[in-house]
Amino acid sequence: MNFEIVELFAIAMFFISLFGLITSKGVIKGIISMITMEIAVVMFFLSIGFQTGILPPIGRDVGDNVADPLPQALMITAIIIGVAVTAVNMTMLIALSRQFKTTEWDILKKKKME
Amino acid sequence: MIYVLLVFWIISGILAIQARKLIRIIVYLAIFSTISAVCFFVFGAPDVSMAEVAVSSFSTVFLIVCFEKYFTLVTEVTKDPPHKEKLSKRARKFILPACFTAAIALLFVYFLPDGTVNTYLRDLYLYRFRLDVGGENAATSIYLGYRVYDTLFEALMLLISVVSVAHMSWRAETDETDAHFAGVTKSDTVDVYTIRILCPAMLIFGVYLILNGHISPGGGFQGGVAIASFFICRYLIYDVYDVRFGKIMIFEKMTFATLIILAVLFVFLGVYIQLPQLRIPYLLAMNMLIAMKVAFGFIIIFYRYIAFERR
Amino acid sequence: MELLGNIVIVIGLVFMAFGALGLYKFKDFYLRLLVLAKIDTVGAITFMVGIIIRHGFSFFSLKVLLIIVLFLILNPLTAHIIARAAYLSIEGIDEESDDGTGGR
Repeated sequence: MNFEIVELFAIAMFFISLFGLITSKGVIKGIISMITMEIAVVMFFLSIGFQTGILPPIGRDVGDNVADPLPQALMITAIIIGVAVTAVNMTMLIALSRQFKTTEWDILKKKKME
Repeated sequence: MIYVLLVFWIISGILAIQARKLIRIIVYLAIFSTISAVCFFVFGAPDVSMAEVAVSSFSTVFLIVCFEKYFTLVTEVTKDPPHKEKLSKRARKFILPACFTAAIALLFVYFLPDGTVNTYLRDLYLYRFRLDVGGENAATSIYLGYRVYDTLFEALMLLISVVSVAHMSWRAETDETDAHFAGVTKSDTVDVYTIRILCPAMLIFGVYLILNGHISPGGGFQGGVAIASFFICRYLIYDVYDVRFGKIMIFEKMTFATLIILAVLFVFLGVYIQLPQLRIPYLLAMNMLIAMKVAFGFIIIFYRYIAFERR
Repeated sequence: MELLGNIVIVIGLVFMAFGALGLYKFKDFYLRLLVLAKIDTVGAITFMVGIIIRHGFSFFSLKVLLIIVLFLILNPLTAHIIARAAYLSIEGIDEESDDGTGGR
Protein backbone atom coordinates (compact mmCIF):
# COMPACT_ATOMS: atom_id res chain seq x y z
CA MET A 1 0.00 0.00 0.00
CA ASN A 2 1.61 3.15 -1.22
CA PHE A 3 -0.34 6.33 -0.65
CA GLU A 4 0.19 9.88 0.53
CA ILE A 5 -0.46 10.90 4.12
CA VAL A 6 -2.51 13.80 2.76
CA GLU A 7 -4.98 11.39 1.17
CA LEU A 8 -5.28 9.56 4.48
CA PHE A 9 -6.52 12.73 6.20
CA ALA A 10 -9.32 13.13 3.66
CA ILE A 11 -10.31 9.46 4.00
CA ALA A 12 -10.36 9.80 7.79
CA MET A 13 -12.62 12.85 7.58
CA PHE A 14 -14.96 11.02 5.21
CA PHE A 15 -15.39 8.11 7.58
CA ILE A 16 -15.77 10.36 10.62
CA SER A 17 -18.64 12.05 8.78
CA LEU A 18 -20.07 8.62 7.95
CA PHE A 19 -19.96 7.76 11.65
CA GLY A 20 -21.73 11.00 12.46
CA LEU A 21 -24.36 10.23 9.82
CA ILE A 22 -25.02 6.78 11.26
CA THR A 23 -25.21 7.83 14.91
CA SER A 24 -27.16 11.06 14.32
CA LYS A 25 -30.20 11.46 16.52
CA GLY A 26 -31.76 14.28 14.55
CA VAL A 27 -32.09 15.19 10.91
CA ILE A 28 -29.91 18.30 11.29
CA LYS A 29 -26.86 16.26 12.32
CA GLY A 30 -27.35 14.12 9.24
CA ILE A 31 -27.37 17.17 6.98
CA ILE A 32 -24.24 18.62 8.62
CA SER A 33 -22.47 15.26 8.25
CA MET A 34 -23.37 15.21 4.58
CA ILE A 35 -21.86 18.68 4.06
CA THR A 36 -18.58 17.65 5.70
CA MET A 37 -18.60 14.41 3.72
CA GLU A 38 -18.84 16.30 0.43
CA ILE A 39 -15.92 18.54 1.35
CA ALA A 40 -13.91 15.48 2.36
CA VAL A 41 -14.54 13.89 -1.03
CA VAL A 42 -13.40 17.07 -2.77
CA MET A 43 -10.28 17.12 -0.59
CA PHE A 44 -9.50 13.51 -1.47
CA PHE A 45 -9.76 14.09 -5.21
CA LEU A 46 -7.57 17.19 -5.07
CA SER A 47 -4.93 15.64 -2.83
CA ILE A 48 -4.09 12.83 -5.27
CA GLY A 49 -0.57 13.33 -6.52
CA PHE A 50 0.30 16.11 -4.12
CA GLN A 51 3.92 17.28 -3.88
CA THR A 52 5.25 20.21 -1.92
CA GLY A 53 5.43 23.41 -3.92
CA ILE A 54 2.94 22.27 -6.55
CA LEU A 55 1.77 24.90 -9.02
CA PRO A 56 -1.70 25.59 -10.43
CA PRO A 57 -2.21 24.65 -14.11
CA ILE A 58 -2.57 28.24 -15.33
CA GLY A 59 -0.31 30.07 -17.71
CA ARG A 60 2.29 29.00 -20.22
CA ASP A 61 5.62 28.25 -18.59
CA VAL A 62 4.72 26.45 -15.42
CA GLY A 63 7.35 23.73 -15.55
CA ASP A 64 6.97 20.15 -14.50
CA ASN A 65 5.47 20.27 -11.01
CA VAL A 66 1.88 21.06 -12.01
CA ALA A 67 -1.37 20.00 -10.39
CA ASP A 68 -3.76 17.75 -12.29
CA PRO A 69 -6.44 19.95 -13.91
CA LEU A 70 -9.01 17.19 -14.48
CA PRO A 71 -10.11 16.63 -10.83
CA GLN A 72 -10.22 20.40 -10.35
CA ALA A 73 -12.63 20.84 -13.26
CA LEU A 74 -14.84 18.07 -11.87
CA MET A 75 -14.71 19.33 -8.27
CA ILE A 76 -15.83 22.87 -9.13
CA THR A 77 -19.11 21.41 -10.35
CA ALA A 78 -19.26 19.09 -7.33
CA ILE A 79 -19.07 22.00 -4.90
CA ILE A 80 -21.95 23.85 -6.59
CA ILE A 81 -24.00 20.65 -6.61
CA GLY A 82 -23.23 20.29 -2.89
CA VAL A 83 -24.88 23.62 -2.14
CA ALA A 84 -27.90 22.65 -4.22
CA VAL A 85 -28.19 19.37 -2.29
CA THR A 86 -27.94 21.26 1.00
CA ALA A 87 -30.71 23.61 -0.10
CA VAL A 88 -33.01 20.71 -1.00
CA ASN A 89 -32.20 19.00 2.31
CA MET A 90 -33.04 22.16 4.23
CA THR A 91 -36.34 22.50 2.38
CA MET A 92 -37.25 18.95 3.30
CA LEU A 93 -36.18 19.58 6.91
CA ILE A 94 -38.43 22.60 7.22
CA ALA A 95 -41.35 20.78 5.61
CA LEU A 96 -40.83 17.89 8.02
CA SER A 97 -40.67 20.12 11.08
CA ARG A 98 -43.79 21.93 9.93
CA GLN A 99 -45.71 18.71 9.62
CA PHE A 100 -44.51 16.78 12.68
CA LYS A 101 -43.20 19.61 14.93
CA THR A 102 -39.99 17.68 15.56
CA THR A 103 -36.91 16.44 13.76
CA GLU A 104 -35.69 13.65 16.06
CA TRP A 105 -35.63 10.24 14.46
CA ASP A 106 -37.11 8.39 17.47
CA ILE A 107 -40.13 10.67 17.86
CA LEU A 108 -40.62 10.66 14.09
CA LYS A 109 -40.74 6.87 14.06
CA LYS A 110 -43.34 6.84 16.85
CA LYS A 111 -45.46 9.42 15.07
CA LYS A 112 -45.23 7.48 11.86
CA MET A 113 -46.43 4.30 13.55
CA GLU A 114 -49.58 5.92 14.92
CA MET B 1 2.61 23.28 6.84
CA ILE B 2 -0.10 21.36 5.05
CA TYR B 3 -0.24 18.75 7.82
CA VAL B 4 -0.91 21.37 10.49
CA LEU B 5 -3.72 22.75 8.33
CA LEU B 6 -5.17 19.29 7.81
CA VAL B 7 -5.09 18.50 11.54
CA PHE B 8 -7.01 21.70 12.26
CA TRP B 9 -9.37 20.80 9.40
CA ILE B 10 -10.23 17.45 10.94
CA ILE B 11 -10.62 18.98 14.42
CA SER B 12 -13.05 21.62 13.16
CA GLY B 13 -14.98 18.96 11.24
CA ILE B 14 -15.35 16.80 14.33
CA LEU B 15 -16.47 19.84 16.33
CA ALA B 16 -19.05 20.70 13.66
CA ILE B 17 -20.42 17.17 13.72
CA GLN B 18 -20.65 16.82 17.48
CA ALA B 19 -21.79 20.35 18.44
CA ARG B 20 -25.18 20.65 20.11
CA LYS B 21 -26.12 24.31 19.70
CA LEU B 22 -27.14 25.25 16.19
CA ILE B 23 -25.20 28.55 16.21
CA ARG B 24 -22.03 26.65 17.05
CA ILE B 25 -22.66 24.29 14.15
CA ILE B 26 -22.77 27.28 11.80
CA VAL B 27 -19.55 28.79 13.20
CA TYR B 28 -17.65 25.48 13.08
CA LEU B 29 -18.83 24.79 9.54
CA ALA B 30 -17.62 28.22 8.44
CA ILE B 31 -14.19 27.51 9.97
CA PHE B 32 -14.15 24.08 8.32
CA SER B 33 -14.92 25.50 4.88
CA THR B 34 -12.35 28.26 5.21
CA ILE B 35 -9.55 25.89 6.21
CA SER B 36 -10.47 23.54 3.38
CA ALA B 37 -10.32 26.46 0.93
CA VAL B 38 -6.78 27.26 2.10
CA CYS B 39 -5.88 23.57 1.69
CA PHE B 40 -7.24 23.56 -1.87
CA PHE B 41 -5.05 26.55 -2.63
CA VAL B 42 -2.00 24.73 -1.30
CA PHE B 43 -2.94 21.74 -3.45
CA GLY B 44 -2.62 23.93 -6.52
CA ALA B 45 -6.31 24.47 -7.25
CA PRO B 46 -7.15 28.19 -6.97
CA ASP B 47 -10.38 27.74 -8.94
CA VAL B 48 -11.77 25.23 -6.48
CA SER B 49 -10.57 27.34 -3.59
CA MET B 50 -12.42 30.37 -4.90
CA ALA B 51 -15.59 28.35 -5.46
CA GLU B 52 -15.37 26.95 -1.93
CA VAL B 53 -14.95 30.41 -0.38
CA ALA B 54 -17.88 31.86 -2.32
CA VAL B 55 -20.10 28.87 -1.60
CA SER B 56 -19.24 28.73 2.09
CA SER B 57 -20.10 32.39 2.59
CA PHE B 58 -23.40 31.81 0.79
CA SER B 59 -24.25 28.69 2.76
CA THR B 60 -23.46 30.34 6.11
CA VAL B 61 -26.10 33.01 5.51
CA PHE B 62 -28.44 30.38 4.14
CA LEU B 63 -28.05 28.10 7.18
CA ILE B 64 -28.63 31.02 9.56
CA VAL B 65 -31.90 31.81 7.80
CA CYS B 66 -32.95 28.14 7.77
CA PHE B 67 -32.19 27.55 11.44
CA GLU B 68 -33.99 30.72 12.40
CA LYS B 69 -37.10 29.38 10.66
CA TYR B 70 -36.54 25.97 12.20
CA PHE B 71 -36.43 27.39 15.74
CA THR B 72 -39.84 28.92 15.35
CA LEU B 73 -41.29 25.70 13.97
CA VAL B 74 -40.07 22.94 16.24
CA THR B 75 -41.66 22.54 19.61
CA GLU B 76 -40.52 19.09 20.70
CA VAL B 77 -36.80 18.93 21.32
CA THR B 78 -35.53 16.00 23.35
CA LYS B 79 -33.47 16.67 26.43
CA ASP B 80 -29.95 15.34 26.77
CA PRO B 81 -30.13 11.63 27.55
CA PRO B 82 -29.04 10.50 31.03
CA HIS B 83 -25.55 9.12 31.08
CA LYS B 84 -26.38 6.03 33.11
CA GLU B 85 -27.40 3.81 30.25
CA LYS B 86 -26.89 0.13 30.06
CA LEU B 87 -23.89 -1.14 28.16
CA SER B 88 -25.96 -2.99 25.59
CA LYS B 89 -27.89 0.13 24.64
CA ARG B 90 -24.73 2.20 24.44
CA ALA B 91 -23.08 -0.51 22.38
CA ARG B 92 -25.96 -0.52 19.97
CA LYS B 93 -25.75 3.24 19.70
CA PHE B 94 -22.03 3.91 19.40
CA ILE B 95 -19.73 0.92 19.44
CA LEU B 96 -21.38 -1.01 16.64
CA PRO B 97 -21.44 1.96 14.22
CA ALA B 98 -17.84 2.74 15.18
CA CYS B 99 -16.78 -0.81 14.37
CA PHE B 100 -18.76 -0.70 11.13
CA THR B 101 -17.18 2.54 9.90
CA ALA B 102 -13.71 1.43 10.98
CA ALA B 103 -14.13 -1.82 9.04
CA ILE B 104 -15.26 0.00 5.91
CA ALA B 105 -12.40 2.48 6.26
CA LEU B 106 -9.84 -0.32 6.54
CA LEU B 107 -11.35 -2.04 3.51
CA PHE B 108 -11.19 1.21 1.54
CA VAL B 109 -7.57 1.85 2.47
CA TYR B 110 -6.71 -1.75 1.60
CA PHE B 111 -8.19 -1.47 -1.89
CA LEU B 112 -6.58 1.89 -2.60
CA PRO B 113 -4.50 1.50 -5.78
CA ASP B 114 -0.79 0.92 -5.37
CA GLY B 115 2.14 2.64 -6.99
CA THR B 116 2.69 6.11 -8.30
CA VAL B 117 -0.10 8.16 -9.81
CA ASN B 118 -0.66 7.73 -13.54
CA THR B 119 0.03 11.12 -15.11
CA TYR B 120 -0.73 10.23 -18.73
CA LEU B 121 -4.04 12.11 -18.91
CA ARG B 122 -2.65 15.10 -17.03
CA ASP B 123 0.28 15.46 -19.41
CA LEU B 124 -1.99 15.04 -22.43
CA TYR B 125 -4.42 17.70 -21.24
CA LEU B 126 -1.67 20.09 -20.25
CA TYR B 127 0.00 19.66 -23.61
CA ARG B 128 -3.11 19.82 -25.79
CA PHE B 129 -5.62 22.15 -24.14
CA ARG B 130 -4.35 25.34 -25.78
CA LEU B 131 -4.55 23.74 -29.20
CA ASP B 132 -7.90 22.02 -28.73
CA VAL B 133 -9.93 24.41 -26.61
CA GLY B 134 -7.97 27.62 -26.16
CA GLY B 135 -7.50 29.85 -23.17
CA GLU B 136 -4.84 29.76 -20.51
CA ASN B 137 -6.63 28.16 -17.58
CA ALA B 138 -6.53 24.38 -17.93
CA ALA B 139 -9.41 23.71 -15.51
CA THR B 140 -11.75 26.07 -17.37
CA SER B 141 -10.70 24.58 -20.69
CA ILE B 142 -11.47 21.09 -19.44
CA TYR B 143 -14.91 21.82 -18.02
CA LEU B 144 -15.88 23.82 -21.09
CA GLY B 145 -14.20 21.69 -23.72
CA TYR B 146 -13.33 18.09 -23.06
CA ARG B 147 -15.81 17.56 -20.25
CA VAL B 148 -18.63 19.85 -21.33
CA TYR B 149 -21.26 17.18 -20.74
CA ASP B 150 -20.41 17.12 -17.03
CA THR B 151 -21.01 20.85 -16.91
CA LEU B 152 -24.32 20.48 -18.73
CA PHE B 153 -25.52 17.82 -16.31
CA GLU B 154 -24.35 19.92 -13.38
CA ALA B 155 -26.51 22.76 -14.70
CA LEU B 156 -29.38 20.26 -15.00
CA MET B 157 -28.86 19.17 -11.37
CA LEU B 158 -28.95 22.80 -10.23
CA LEU B 159 -32.12 23.41 -12.25
CA ILE B 160 -33.82 20.34 -10.73
CA SER B 161 -32.87 21.31 -7.19
CA VAL B 162 -34.05 24.88 -7.69
CA VAL B 163 -37.37 23.63 -9.06
CA SER B 164 -37.75 21.23 -6.13
CA VAL B 165 -36.94 23.98 -3.62
CA ALA B 166 -39.47 26.28 -5.26
CA HIS B 167 -42.19 23.62 -5.29
CA MET B 168 -41.64 21.97 -1.91
CA SER B 169 -41.31 25.13 0.16
CA TRP B 170 -44.37 26.58 1.71
CA ARG B 171 -45.86 29.88 0.69
CA ALA B 172 -47.45 32.23 3.17
CA GLU B 173 -50.82 33.74 2.43
CA THR B 174 -49.66 37.30 3.03
CA ASP B 175 -46.56 38.82 1.54
CA GLU B 176 -45.77 41.21 4.38
CA THR B 177 -42.15 41.79 5.25
CA ASP B 178 -40.70 39.75 8.06
CA ALA B 179 -40.80 41.86 11.21
CA HIS B 180 -37.68 40.36 12.73
CA PHE B 181 -35.40 40.84 9.76
CA ALA B 182 -36.85 44.26 9.01
CA GLY B 183 -36.27 45.48 12.56
CA VAL B 184 -32.63 44.52 12.54
CA THR B 185 -31.66 45.74 9.12
CA LYS B 186 -33.82 48.59 8.05
CA SER B 187 -33.30 51.23 10.69
CA ASP B 188 -29.51 50.99 10.82
CA THR B 189 -27.78 53.54 8.66
CA VAL B 190 -24.12 52.54 9.08
CA ASP B 191 -24.23 49.11 7.47
CA VAL B 192 -26.80 50.23 4.91
CA TYR B 193 -24.53 52.99 3.61
CA THR B 194 -21.38 50.87 3.78
CA ILE B 195 -22.98 48.02 1.85
CA ARG B 196 -24.34 50.56 -0.60
CA ILE B 197 -20.77 51.69 -1.25
CA LEU B 198 -19.45 48.12 -1.51
CA CYS B 199 -22.15 46.67 -3.74
CA PRO B 200 -20.78 48.00 -7.05
CA ALA B 201 -17.35 46.66 -6.09
CA MET B 202 -18.92 43.24 -5.55
CA LEU B 203 -20.65 43.35 -8.94
CA ILE B 204 -17.44 44.47 -10.66
CA PHE B 205 -15.55 41.63 -9.00
CA GLY B 206 -18.11 39.11 -10.23
CA VAL B 207 -17.96 40.43 -13.78
CA TYR B 208 -14.15 40.38 -13.64
CA LEU B 209 -14.18 36.75 -12.54
CA ILE B 210 -16.49 35.81 -15.40
CA LEU B 211 -14.68 37.73 -18.14
CA ASN B 212 -11.22 36.56 -17.06
CA GLY B 213 -12.27 33.00 -16.38
CA HIS B 214 -10.29 31.54 -19.27
CA ILE B 215 -6.97 33.24 -18.56
CA SER B 216 -6.85 33.49 -14.77
CA PRO B 217 -8.41 31.72 -11.77
CA GLY B 218 -12.13 32.18 -11.76
CA GLY B 219 -14.91 31.35 -14.14
CA GLY B 220 -18.63 31.06 -14.44
CA PHE B 221 -19.41 29.31 -11.18
CA GLN B 222 -17.45 31.66 -8.92
CA GLY B 223 -18.63 34.78 -10.72
CA GLY B 224 -22.22 33.55 -10.54
CA VAL B 225 -22.04 33.13 -6.79
CA ALA B 226 -20.48 36.62 -6.46
CA ILE B 227 -23.33 38.15 -8.47
CA ALA B 228 -25.87 36.24 -6.36
CA SER B 229 -24.24 37.69 -3.25
CA PHE B 230 -24.74 41.14 -4.76
CA PHE B 231 -28.47 40.45 -4.93
CA ILE B 232 -28.50 39.16 -1.34
CA CYS B 233 -26.83 42.39 -0.20
CA ARG B 234 -29.43 44.29 -2.18
CA TYR B 235 -32.11 42.61 -0.09
CA LEU B 236 -30.25 43.59 3.07
CA ILE B 237 -29.98 47.23 1.98
CA TYR B 238 -33.45 48.04 0.81
CA ASP B 239 -35.37 45.30 2.64
CA VAL B 240 -37.93 45.21 -0.12
CA TYR B 241 -39.18 42.21 -1.91
CA ASP B 242 -39.65 43.14 -5.54
CA VAL B 243 -38.28 40.09 -7.31
CA ARG B 244 -40.73 38.39 -9.63
CA PHE B 245 -40.28 34.69 -9.24
CA GLY B 246 -42.06 33.57 -12.36
CA LYS B 247 -39.89 35.73 -14.58
CA ILE B 248 -36.65 34.66 -12.92
CA MET B 249 -37.54 30.99 -13.22
CA ILE B 250 -38.42 31.39 -16.89
CA PHE B 251 -35.10 33.20 -17.42
CA GLU B 252 -33.26 30.38 -15.72
CA LYS B 253 -34.81 27.74 -17.93
CA MET B 254 -34.10 29.82 -21.04
CA THR B 255 -30.48 30.18 -19.94
CA PHE B 256 -30.22 26.44 -19.55
CA ALA B 257 -31.67 25.85 -23.01
CA THR B 258 -29.23 28.33 -24.53
CA LEU B 259 -26.37 26.62 -22.73
CA ILE B 260 -27.30 23.24 -24.15
CA ILE B 261 -27.77 24.60 -27.67
CA LEU B 262 -24.43 26.43 -27.65
CA ALA B 263 -22.48 23.49 -26.28
CA VAL B 264 -24.04 21.01 -28.67
CA LEU B 265 -23.47 23.34 -31.62
CA PHE B 266 -19.82 23.80 -30.85
CA VAL B 267 -18.83 20.38 -29.60
CA PHE B 268 -21.19 18.08 -31.49
CA LEU B 269 -21.26 19.74 -34.87
CA GLY B 270 -17.53 20.46 -34.84
CA VAL B 271 -17.64 24.23 -35.26
CA TYR B 272 -14.69 24.06 -32.90
CA ILE B 273 -12.42 22.36 -35.35
CA GLN B 274 -13.49 24.34 -38.41
CA LEU B 275 -13.41 27.84 -36.99
CA PRO B 276 -10.52 28.26 -34.54
CA GLN B 277 -11.07 32.00 -34.22
CA LEU B 278 -14.40 31.39 -32.46
CA ARG B 279 -12.86 29.53 -29.53
CA ILE B 280 -12.30 32.47 -27.19
CA PRO B 281 -15.81 33.91 -27.82
CA TYR B 282 -17.20 30.44 -27.15
CA LEU B 283 -15.41 30.26 -23.78
CA LEU B 284 -16.60 33.75 -22.84
CA ALA B 285 -20.20 33.01 -23.83
CA MET B 286 -20.25 29.70 -21.95
CA ASN B 287 -18.80 31.32 -18.82
CA MET B 288 -21.42 34.07 -18.98
CA LEU B 289 -24.28 31.62 -19.44
CA ILE B 290 -23.08 29.41 -16.59
CA ALA B 291 -22.72 32.46 -14.35
CA MET B 292 -26.26 33.58 -15.18
CA LYS B 293 -27.53 30.08 -14.48
CA VAL B 294 -25.81 29.81 -11.10
CA ALA B 295 -26.74 33.35 -10.08
CA PHE B 296 -30.41 32.83 -10.96
CA GLY B 297 -30.48 29.54 -9.08
CA PHE B 298 -28.95 30.97 -5.92
CA ILE B 299 -31.15 34.07 -6.05
CA ILE B 300 -34.24 31.87 -6.30
CA ILE B 301 -33.14 29.67 -3.40
CA PHE B 302 -32.29 32.61 -1.14
CA TYR B 303 -35.30 34.76 -1.88
CA ARG B 304 -37.58 31.78 -1.58
CA TYR B 305 -36.42 31.25 1.98
CA ILE B 306 -36.38 34.91 2.92
CA ALA B 307 -39.68 35.90 1.45
CA PHE B 308 -41.98 32.92 1.23
CA GLU B 309 -40.97 30.65 4.06
CA ARG B 310 -42.07 33.05 6.73
CA ARG B 311 -44.38 32.77 9.64
CA MET C 1 14.38 46.21 3.93
CA GLU C 2 13.61 42.57 4.45
CA LEU C 3 14.62 42.72 8.12
CA LEU C 4 12.33 45.72 8.67
CA GLY C 5 9.45 43.86 7.03
CA ASN C 6 10.04 40.84 9.23
CA ILE C 7 10.00 43.02 12.35
CA VAL C 8 6.68 44.58 11.36
CA ILE C 9 5.21 41.12 10.64
CA VAL C 10 6.30 39.94 14.08
CA ILE C 11 4.65 42.99 15.65
CA GLY C 12 1.41 42.05 13.89
CA LEU C 13 1.68 38.49 15.16
CA VAL C 14 2.19 39.82 18.71
CA PHE C 15 -1.02 41.84 18.33
CA MET C 16 -2.85 38.70 17.21
CA ALA C 17 -1.44 36.65 20.10
CA PHE C 18 -2.52 39.23 22.68
CA GLY C 19 -5.96 39.28 21.08
CA ALA C 20 -6.23 35.51 21.34
CA LEU C 21 -5.18 35.79 25.00
CA GLY C 22 -7.85 38.41 25.57
CA LEU C 23 -10.53 36.14 24.12
CA TYR C 24 -9.79 33.71 26.93
CA LYS C 25 -9.37 36.37 29.61
CA PHE C 26 -12.61 38.31 29.18
CA LYS C 27 -15.96 36.72 29.84
CA ASP C 28 -18.20 39.61 28.84
CA PHE C 29 -19.55 39.49 25.31
CA TYR C 30 -18.87 43.10 24.35
CA LEU C 31 -15.32 43.04 25.68
CA ARG C 32 -14.61 39.93 23.64
CA LEU C 33 -16.09 41.61 20.58
CA LEU C 34 -13.74 44.55 21.14
CA VAL C 35 -10.75 42.22 21.32
CA LEU C 36 -11.92 40.38 18.22
CA ALA C 37 -12.09 43.65 16.28
CA LYS C 38 -8.56 44.42 17.46
CA ILE C 39 -7.31 41.12 16.07
CA ASP C 40 -9.05 41.63 12.77
CA THR C 41 -8.06 45.22 12.10
CA VAL C 42 -4.84 46.03 13.93
CA GLY C 43 -3.19 42.60 13.74
CA ALA C 44 -4.05 41.81 10.14
CA ILE C 45 -3.29 45.31 8.85
CA THR C 46 0.10 45.43 10.58
CA PHE C 47 0.83 42.01 9.12
CA MET C 48 0.00 43.15 5.60
CA VAL C 49 1.98 46.38 5.95
CA GLY C 50 4.95 44.17 6.82
CA ILE C 51 4.35 42.15 3.66
CA ILE C 52 4.32 45.36 1.60
CA ILE C 53 7.61 46.52 3.15
CA ARG C 54 9.19 43.15 2.41
CA HIS C 55 8.17 43.08 -1.23
CA GLY C 56 8.92 46.68 -2.02
CA PHE C 57 7.05 48.71 -4.60
CA SER C 58 5.42 46.33 -7.10
CA PHE C 59 2.08 45.18 -8.50
CA PHE C 60 1.78 42.59 -5.76
CA SER C 61 2.01 45.34 -3.13
CA LEU C 62 -0.80 47.21 -4.86
CA LYS C 63 -3.06 44.17 -4.50
CA VAL C 64 -2.19 43.88 -0.81
CA LEU C 65 -2.99 47.59 -0.44
CA LEU C 66 -6.41 46.95 -1.96
CA ILE C 67 -6.98 44.17 0.57
CA ILE C 68 -6.00 46.58 3.38
CA VAL C 69 -8.59 49.08 2.15
CA LEU C 70 -11.25 46.37 2.11
CA PHE C 71 -10.25 45.32 5.64
CA LEU C 72 -10.51 48.91 6.85
CA ILE C 73 -14.03 49.16 5.45
CA LEU C 74 -15.37 45.72 6.29
CA ASN C 75 -14.03 44.81 9.73
CA PRO C 76 -15.53 47.74 11.68
CA LEU C 77 -18.74 47.03 9.76
CA THR C 78 -18.88 43.40 10.92
CA ALA C 79 -18.05 44.35 14.52
CA HIS C 80 -20.76 46.99 14.42
CA ILE C 81 -23.36 44.57 13.01
CA ILE C 82 -22.54 41.90 15.60
CA ALA C 83 -22.67 44.39 18.47
CA ARG C 84 -25.95 45.83 17.23
CA ALA C 85 -27.54 42.41 16.82
CA ALA C 86 -26.37 41.50 20.34
CA TYR C 87 -27.80 44.73 21.71
CA LEU C 88 -31.14 44.13 20.02
CA SER C 89 -31.41 40.61 21.47
CA ILE C 90 -30.01 41.15 24.95
CA GLU C 91 -31.98 38.37 26.62
CA GLY C 92 -30.37 35.66 24.50
CA ILE C 93 -26.86 36.94 25.23
CA ASP C 94 -27.39 37.09 29.00
CA GLU C 95 -28.81 33.60 29.06
CA GLU C 96 -25.89 32.14 27.15
CA SER C 97 -23.03 33.98 28.85
CA ASP C 98 -23.86 32.47 32.22
CA ASP C 99 -22.18 29.18 31.43
CA GLY C 100 -18.77 30.82 31.14
CA THR C 101 -18.62 30.63 27.37
CA GLY C 102 -19.70 34.20 26.73
CA GLY C 103 -22.35 33.17 24.27
CA ARG C 104 -20.03 32.10 21.57
